[in-house]
Amino acid sequence: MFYCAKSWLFINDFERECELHDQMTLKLKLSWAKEFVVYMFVNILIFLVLVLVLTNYFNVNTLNMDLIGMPIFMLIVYFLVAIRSMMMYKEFEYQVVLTKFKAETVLQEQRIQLSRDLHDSLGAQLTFTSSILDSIRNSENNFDQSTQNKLNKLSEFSENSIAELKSVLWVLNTEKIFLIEFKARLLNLIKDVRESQQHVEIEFNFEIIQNLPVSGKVSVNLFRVIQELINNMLKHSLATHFSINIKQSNNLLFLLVTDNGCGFNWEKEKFTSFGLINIHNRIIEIQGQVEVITEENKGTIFSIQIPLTT
Amino acid sequence: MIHVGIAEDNLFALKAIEDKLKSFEDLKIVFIAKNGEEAIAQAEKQSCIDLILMDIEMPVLNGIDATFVIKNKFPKLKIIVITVFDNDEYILNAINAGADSYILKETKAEKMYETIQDTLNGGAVMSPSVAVKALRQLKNPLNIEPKIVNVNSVLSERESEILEYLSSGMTNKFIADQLFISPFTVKRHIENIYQKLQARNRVDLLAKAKKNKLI
Repeated sequence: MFYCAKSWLFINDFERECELHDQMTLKLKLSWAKEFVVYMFVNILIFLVLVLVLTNYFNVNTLNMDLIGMPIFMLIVYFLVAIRSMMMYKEFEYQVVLTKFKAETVLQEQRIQLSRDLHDSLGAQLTFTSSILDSIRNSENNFDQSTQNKLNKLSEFSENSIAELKSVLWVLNTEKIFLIEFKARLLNLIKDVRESQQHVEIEFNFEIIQNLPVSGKVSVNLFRVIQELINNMLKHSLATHFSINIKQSNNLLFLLVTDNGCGFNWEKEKFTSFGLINIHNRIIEIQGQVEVITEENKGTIFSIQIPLTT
Repeated sequence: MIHVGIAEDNLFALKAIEDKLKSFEDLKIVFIAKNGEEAIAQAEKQSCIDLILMDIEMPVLNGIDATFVIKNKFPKLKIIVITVFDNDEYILNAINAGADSYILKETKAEKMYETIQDTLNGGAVMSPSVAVKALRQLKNPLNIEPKIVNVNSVLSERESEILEYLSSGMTNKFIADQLFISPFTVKRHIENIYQKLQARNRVDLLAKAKKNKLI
């Protein structure tokens, strides 16, 4: 009993020292150790009480103790142990669920807060910047060519920043997105491009066989890749026809993006063009593969393969 | 002269909108409200408003609830909701609450002006993803039996045709060419689709508004 008390104190001391470490496993081990000490202590106590009761009130001599006392003692102990362990298990289960739930709620709250802050501050200011730049560009002032170029660059960058921010918010807000919804988002993009670039014929097909969920990371990277491909096509290719074909096959998405534009030197450009590097990096990040077939004046074909679940 | 009210709590967003509207001489900003409650008060006070640009996320009272209250009192007053980034859920809720059209804050000045003009003339815009969601909502209304409804019993043939085209990412111009109508007629049909959505959700929304003592 003395040792039980001593180890109890030791465990308590240890627990106080480790208060900072908020780890589930450590807590669990400590509580098991405590339980064990309590169990030993109660064991000894019951045995002592039993011996005292039996010898004093029932006049059982020490020899008969083994025959009557031991089985009763064992039964009581087993019973206690069974109840205890059942309660402990339930308690433990409850604790695990609670901790998990709490951690998730905190994380979720932080996400929402973060995305709201980004949205309200950065988002609003970027939109403001972009609209000022637009009004300067559209004003009647005649700027010289280099100023005009710089203004165009600035405007382009601010719009790019808005697109980047949008994708960050997308990842923050979406744990996963279903293919049908992803397709709808792509359609929004396609419609915007169709409206603003009426000289290019844009074909878009997205065949969904099974409406699988896609993680925020995969969906946003894929979206940005397609956006970048469209931007490249509009800026450099002089194409009149552009088509995006997306096909699903089990867990894979196959993208075939083609244009009839002027093409480019892939080997030369793939390490120097910011847009192409970006496309490549994003595809690598989601464990996809990309193949480019292009030749000057013979159009471009991007063939991309993306695993939906990694 | 078009008299416009703005309800927007974010200073930068407000400045951007003002900046864009400034360049059009036939637009006059008659009030600026910082939240939904102020917007309602202004709408009641001012006698001469044609249209309100309403932000969705605002403190005190959000733009969706404010839209519902204002539309109940002044059905003829047009409301365009504005949102920084496209959030279909918000847009559809605002439409259900009675908004006539919507606009993204990044929208360029000319497009914004065009939307204002169109809205006053009874036309609206709809993005493909909103069209997909609207189609789904028409098929599976929340509290109306039977659960799955034939869309054609709600929408006219033309309207459901247009909704189909819109949800596949076609531009208004393309749809107009396909159906031998003018692009503005397409916008008119969109407005009608919105009004049917509103009508279907009106009972629910009224009950909710009464519970929250908005009306």
